[in-house]
Amino acid sequence: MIDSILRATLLGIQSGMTLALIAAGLTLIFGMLDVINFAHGALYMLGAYFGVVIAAQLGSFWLALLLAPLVVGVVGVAIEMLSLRPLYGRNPLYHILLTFGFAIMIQGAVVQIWGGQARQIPKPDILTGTVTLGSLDYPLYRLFVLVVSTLLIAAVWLAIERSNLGILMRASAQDTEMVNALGIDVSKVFTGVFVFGAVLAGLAGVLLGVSRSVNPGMGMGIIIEAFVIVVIGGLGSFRGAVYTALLIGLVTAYGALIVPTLTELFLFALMAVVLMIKPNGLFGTAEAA
Amino acid sequence: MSSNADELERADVSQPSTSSDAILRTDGLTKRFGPLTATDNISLEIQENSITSIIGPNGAGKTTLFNLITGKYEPTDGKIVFQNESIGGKDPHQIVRHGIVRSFQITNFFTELTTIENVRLAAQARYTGFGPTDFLKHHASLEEPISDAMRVLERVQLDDVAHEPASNLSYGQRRHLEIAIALASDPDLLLMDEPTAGMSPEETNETVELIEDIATDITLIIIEHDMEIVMGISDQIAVLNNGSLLTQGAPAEIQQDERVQRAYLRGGGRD
Amino acid sequence: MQQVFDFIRRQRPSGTGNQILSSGGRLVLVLAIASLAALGPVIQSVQPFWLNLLIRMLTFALLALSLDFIFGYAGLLSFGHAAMYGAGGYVAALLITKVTASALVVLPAAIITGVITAAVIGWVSVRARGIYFAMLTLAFAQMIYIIAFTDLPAAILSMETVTGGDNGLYGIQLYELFGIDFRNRLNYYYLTLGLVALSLAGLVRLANSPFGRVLQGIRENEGRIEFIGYDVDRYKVIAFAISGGFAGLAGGLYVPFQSVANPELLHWTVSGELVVMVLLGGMGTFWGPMVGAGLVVFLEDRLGGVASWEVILGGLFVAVVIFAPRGLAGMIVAVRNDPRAALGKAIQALKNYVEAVRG
Repeated sequence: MIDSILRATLLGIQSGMTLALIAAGLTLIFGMLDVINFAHGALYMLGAYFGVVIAAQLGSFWLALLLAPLVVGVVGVAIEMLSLRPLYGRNPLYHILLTFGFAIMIQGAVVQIWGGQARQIPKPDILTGTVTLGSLDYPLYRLFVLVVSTLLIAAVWLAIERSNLGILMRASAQDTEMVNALGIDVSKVFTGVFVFGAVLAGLAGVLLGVSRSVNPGMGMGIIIEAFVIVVIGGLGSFRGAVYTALLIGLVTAYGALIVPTLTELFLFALMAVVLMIKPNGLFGTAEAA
Repeated sequence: MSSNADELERADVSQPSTSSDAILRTDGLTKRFGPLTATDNISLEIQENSITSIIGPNGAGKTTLFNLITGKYEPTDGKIVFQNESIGGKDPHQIVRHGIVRSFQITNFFTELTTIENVRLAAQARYTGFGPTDFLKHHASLEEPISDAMRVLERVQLDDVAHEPASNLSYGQRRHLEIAIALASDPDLLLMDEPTAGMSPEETNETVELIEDIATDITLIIIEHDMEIVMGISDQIAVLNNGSLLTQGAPAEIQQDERVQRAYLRGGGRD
Repeated sequence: MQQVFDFIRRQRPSGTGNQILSSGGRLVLVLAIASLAALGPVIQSVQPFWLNLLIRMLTFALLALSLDFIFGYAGLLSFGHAAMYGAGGYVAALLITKVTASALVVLPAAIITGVITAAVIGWVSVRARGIYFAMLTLAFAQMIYIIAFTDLPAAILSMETVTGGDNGLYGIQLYELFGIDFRNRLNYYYLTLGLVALSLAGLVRLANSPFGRVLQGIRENEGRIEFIGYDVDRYKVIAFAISGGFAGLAGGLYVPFQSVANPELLHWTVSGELVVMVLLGGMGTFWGPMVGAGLVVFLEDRLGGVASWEVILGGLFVAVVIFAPRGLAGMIVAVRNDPRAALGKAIQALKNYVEAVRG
């Protein structure tokens, strides 16, 4: 009994933290650029697929973990510069539509290039096997993902709150003209933020591409979950995204023990309630972080 | 201006008088946004068929006052009474139905529609609801809104551009369209937010003439920065500063009021 | 008549104080519908399978029309229209299997289901603005999807099955209507064509009515509409409910035709694809999204095997959003009005784009 709870807790934290990687990027992109990036799930998926390719070509999971997110970043640059940048003046509804179009395109391209079969990134030998925690045997790889994700989130948190870059990001979000007047090219900041979000999503793709199946549907599958997190946490709030992702990871993990089907329903209901009562989310959008 | 100007009692900040001529009365009207107090305990009276100008430095709470009266904001405290009915906190569309209408400072109409359609839409609100004919009839078959709209356009001298897209109008014409849309709702009380802002002297004169014409059958409250106009047409002037009502009175009194001079008319005239 | 010519000359398809469809446009539409009707028997004798495709195209055209009414015309983006569509479809399926297959009962029921679903969702969501409203419709549609997928009603009512779970309900028979045999595809084709044409006529009528004019005002300047005396929330809910009714009708037409009602009908990707159809076709024009939907369904059918179909569709959609947000209808109208100006605008748009990218 305790074992199941402990296992569920670890699983919940792990999936929560990895979801946070995806949700954080999504919420930062909204906070900075006012763009709801429907293609974020597709970027996550690309990370997984690039990871499969790189791992196969170079024979190393670690290289895949390092390089695949960077390639996704390049894709992000292309999307941002070629399509989002020209549209910044327009009604924000257009951004949702635009990124949705990209999501469709990327999904089609994935099927085109790699076919519809499911794949996986091979687990590195070092991380196979289980770890014994008390009376529980927990997969080492999952623990690794938990640690890596948490460290990354912490690093991003610090970067946003403390570093000059973070201050610059937040300033750009609040007063674009002012920052421009200071001689900083805001459009580059915007591109940077978008790429940053893409890289995080791609990273999550590689990490989860080992334990989950890599298939063309994973992009569309994860984006809705990411939306739920970001809406509940508050569009634009990094903190909100992280807390909520953790919450949802745990709720899903525990819910799986009790009544799995209703958990998803509950989450959407919660999303609706937040939107109706406090559209700024549980943690508001006072600041970008 | 109007003969009532001299007979009106000066509205005392702490003791609102209960003259039966008052079409609108606010009682301790207060609006707070968190720690910020936008309007603070404002009690004023607007007499029927008068022109009252609201003046004060930027940020004094003039637009907030308008927003409170028109229902955009709910009062944190205090009452608003219009024609003996309490209207504080009601929805904007309900307040329009009561007979209070507002024109806006910035261009705020329907740019893709024609001039006459802008006005007709406003006029239509008085005739339609959710009955079956409202869903099935062609809008052009309703004659009253169209004729009302034409009449209003003639009044503001925009009838010759009735079928132009509103986006094609000149700045002065747009300001008049703003007023036309407000008039189409057949108000008893019209709130005008800086009607002459950004106008050339010629356009300003035209607009002042229009305002005086409107004032013959409609009570007006005007936010205005141009002191010449304010002193020239107002029956009453209410001075706001830092969210409170500094004083209210006839132009002559206001001009000589030291407090007003200190707070606002320093150096003579603004904008 | 002068106003009509003025209208045709305007670029924005939705008109300025005039009718949503010019008499010229109406003529074209009437001719199009007549041709479709006349072509029916011809197609049936040449290649009967095409009738199936046409029926599907018409059903999605109706669905796209319902979305265009609320999104393109009234300005309210809904990302959950599949909810009303699927609800109408499921109710039709349940009624046909358990109560009656009479079209006179089931079709109105499908419409009413769509209206009620939309009315409820609309009523709780309408205070939210813009993006938030769209997300709310998405959330509610997903909830309904999950309820159907997991067959929650069966669990609650302690019945063996209600929605059929992830498999859905199948073996749905065709309608009974005055003894017409709908197994003859031509008959079902005429039924669909007729209902779609009536729906279009009805919505055009509605758009030009006093009610519809207010919706247009809401799209143009929602803030101001309130201040000229209209209860905006109420108008929005009613418009959304009406839109839902037509979506429900589409579901009611689709399900017996496919003889299956499954949760896929309710999935958010259906809602998303609908938005794509509306934008590609030309939002706010009514006929544009219908053509757009027909085109997408047609191409999907023909090219669906080709894996790059999604890439093409997505790419086309992206291009339209960036360069031609008024969609196909907008382009057609612009070119027809003034080809040279349209070309000039296109070149200018390209220039602006390159400049914007260079930053």
